[in-house]
Amino acid sequence: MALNIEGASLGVDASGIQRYITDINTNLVEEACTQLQQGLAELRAATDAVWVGKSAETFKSNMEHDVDSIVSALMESREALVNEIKDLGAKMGEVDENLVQAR
Amino acid sequence: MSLQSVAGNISTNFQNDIQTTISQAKNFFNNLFGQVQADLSHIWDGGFAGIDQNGLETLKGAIETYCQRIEGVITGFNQNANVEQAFKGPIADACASYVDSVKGLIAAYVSTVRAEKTDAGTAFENYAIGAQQLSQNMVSDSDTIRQQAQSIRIDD
Repeated sequence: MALNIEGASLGVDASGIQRYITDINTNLVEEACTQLQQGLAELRAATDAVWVGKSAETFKSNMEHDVDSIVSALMESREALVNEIKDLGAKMGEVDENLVQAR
Repeated sequence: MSLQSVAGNISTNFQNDIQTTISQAKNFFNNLFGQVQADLSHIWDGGFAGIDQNGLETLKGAIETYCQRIEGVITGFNQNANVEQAFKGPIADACASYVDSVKGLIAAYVSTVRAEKTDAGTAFENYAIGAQQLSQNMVSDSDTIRQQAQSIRIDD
């Protein structure tokens, strides 16, 4: 049986790259963003139940601002990572192409 | 000076003192209500502003639940198994470093949110202190009003 990514100590797997990108996207970044935003809605309701007024609005607004900031940071870092991974995959492919000159 | 004119002067002076005292009391009330009307303008547009002190712990609990929910995303992502389906070697380490940095970002955010529990507690405490101070001021003002009212009583 031919060597695959599981048995290798160095290497790149194109379909593995795609699965990894999907994994990062779905299970880390999007999952975090979903939990942040849904959780925030519940936090707003919990605050409204015990606290009303300008101070409460500022408290909620601060939390919303923080969530917006981290969601933006996650989205930007995901984009940077995906581009980097694709670039790395391509470069490793080039390394493989140029390792042995055909006669 | 005749007895009649002395009596008349006393009566006049007595009436003047009454009028002065009533005038002072009226000014006091007007100033008090004027101040209250000015303070009402600080109440926010929603009309009602207040806290349920008994609900503070519930709010803190909701914040903690939220933090644990976000932390669950970090602990639930198995980066080692995932990156090795794509890369083997130093590049895998670089990807793992990225994921660690994302996790660190989320952890730092959670730490900030946890601090909000303290902020909420401080806000509630200060609200109570402020209300207590206002009530003490009102008691003091009420005492002054009572004294003013007492001073214009002419019946025993």
